[in-house]
Amino acid sequence: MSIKIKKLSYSPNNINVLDNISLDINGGTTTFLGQNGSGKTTLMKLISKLIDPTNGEVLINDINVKDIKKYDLSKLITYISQDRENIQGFTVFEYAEMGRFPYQNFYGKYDNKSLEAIENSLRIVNLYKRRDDLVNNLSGGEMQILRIARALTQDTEIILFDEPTSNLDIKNTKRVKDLILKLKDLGKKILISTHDINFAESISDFIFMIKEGKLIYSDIKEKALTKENIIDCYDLDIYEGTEIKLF
Amino acid sequence: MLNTNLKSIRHFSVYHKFIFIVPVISILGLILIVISLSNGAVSTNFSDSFKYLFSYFIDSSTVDPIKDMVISNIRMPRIILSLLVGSALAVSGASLQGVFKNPMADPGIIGVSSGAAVGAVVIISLGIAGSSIFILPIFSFIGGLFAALIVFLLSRISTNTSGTSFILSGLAVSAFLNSIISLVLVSSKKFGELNAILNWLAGGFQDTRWEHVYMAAPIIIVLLPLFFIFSNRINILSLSDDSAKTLGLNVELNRFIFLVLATLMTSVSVAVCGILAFVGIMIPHITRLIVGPDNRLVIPISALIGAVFLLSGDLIARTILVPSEIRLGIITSFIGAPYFIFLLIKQRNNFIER
Repeated sequence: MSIKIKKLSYSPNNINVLDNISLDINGGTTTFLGQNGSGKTTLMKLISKLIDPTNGEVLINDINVKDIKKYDLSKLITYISQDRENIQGFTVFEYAEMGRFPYQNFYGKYDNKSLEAIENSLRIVNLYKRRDDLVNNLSGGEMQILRIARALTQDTEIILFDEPTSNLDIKNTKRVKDLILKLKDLGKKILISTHDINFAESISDFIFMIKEGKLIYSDIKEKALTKENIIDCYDLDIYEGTEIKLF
Repeated sequence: MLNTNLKSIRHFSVYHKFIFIVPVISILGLILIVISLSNGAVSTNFSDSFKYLFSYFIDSSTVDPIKDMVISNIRMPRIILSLLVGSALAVSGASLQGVFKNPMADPGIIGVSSGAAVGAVVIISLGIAGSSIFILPIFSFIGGLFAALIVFLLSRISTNTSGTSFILSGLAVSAFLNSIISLVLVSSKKFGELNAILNWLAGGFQDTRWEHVYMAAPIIIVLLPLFFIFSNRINILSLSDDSAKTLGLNVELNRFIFLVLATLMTSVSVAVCGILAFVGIMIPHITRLIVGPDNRLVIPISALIGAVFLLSGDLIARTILVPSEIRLGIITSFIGAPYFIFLLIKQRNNFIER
């Protein structure tokens, strides 16, 4: 499983959102780190083919995503957005069930593995006992975990998380973090976009720093997260002599 | 109608609701059909209705020919058309609410209702509505489709794909068309003409003949099952667009298909019976309060509830002030709105908001 991005640009209405990005993603958990509005989310959407690039290409297992059919792609890669969805009245089970949509036939009939897959993913995220609760009664953190359950139900090799911990408190951030580590052990390939340096440090193997639509630094976590890189990536105004404590 | 593996995949209580609710509403509908056949300005009794319904098996020659004519040529087409239109409007409304992720969406939002109204109003004011039974429905159908086409084209201009631009174009086109209706109304000189226009705008089945059924039934009967089959896609469309796309759904294509289907069903409904407010927006909500938000349940059950609702509304409209009639459009809002408020209050007690 490999993702290669070649000379990728995205510039709707001649505004450069992403500018000529090339990178290879291989093993481990990968994080895109950068300021708000740096183009992380756009990059995630381009990888999962939610939007089409202006130039360049995304290759998954050396196949251009442009040439992969929507249904096939949805069995290969899933994207957990940060959108709030108006899904009041559905139960936890029903919401997780929606992840099984790619495995339905034309008339909406599920394949044989579906029920097992839904129940399994709810067990993995520890929401199985609450499967009949309405999603209205979930907290923000539980809702995020339920979104992950839906992605798990989809049974893809690659899972993209867009700002998985935005709006979450420390406890729920830890729950999400532990869950993502668990998914990694289950053999999922994970891409995360975040602006949260601490979260990135605690979870990633490899870090790409993105600033104003350009890739400015990429390396394994230990080498990437240096004081200089972070100051550069986030445009921090630091007075000389100020000490920054990392982690 | 029902996905075959729904039982195993859904949690039990909702499936239970389905197998409980469908027979209850269907039996209620059958009882109402017999009552509707037997009541009206011309007094007939149940045995006449049964003899008509089972005339294939029972000798019906004993029925008074006038009563038989009333039952077979006036009441029967009315009943069939109210069932068809009720389910068509309810299903259109339910699907549009899902597709636009907007609980306030109703079939009128596509501009169909006002377009059809303009077609009808122009034909009535030109004085040619009486020349053939087909003229009024055909022109209001064309008017409805034409308005919908303009809304489609306008919404394509905007780059916003989430459906908001569609709703706003629909509002603008409706407002423009309503001004034309007002213009025709205020400039109308003859009282009879004004009366005919206002009567059409209020909506109802008092002019229904078999010809209307022949016009509307084929379209509604062909299109309704498509909504039942693809109802799960409406669930996915009601998620955020990014979520729907990552689940492999072609969001733009499917949204367009549902819009076209809903437009056709609404146009044909409005063409044969005028504008019936309430049904398209309230029936799906009532259904959701009963069975929850899953469109695999909401779409078929709102079809049933919509059909029974219009049938009973029409029964009341034509029997409450015998021998005269109230317009059905007035009745539907008059009964429907308080019932909806009652359900909302009842539901409030069941929900724990957090």
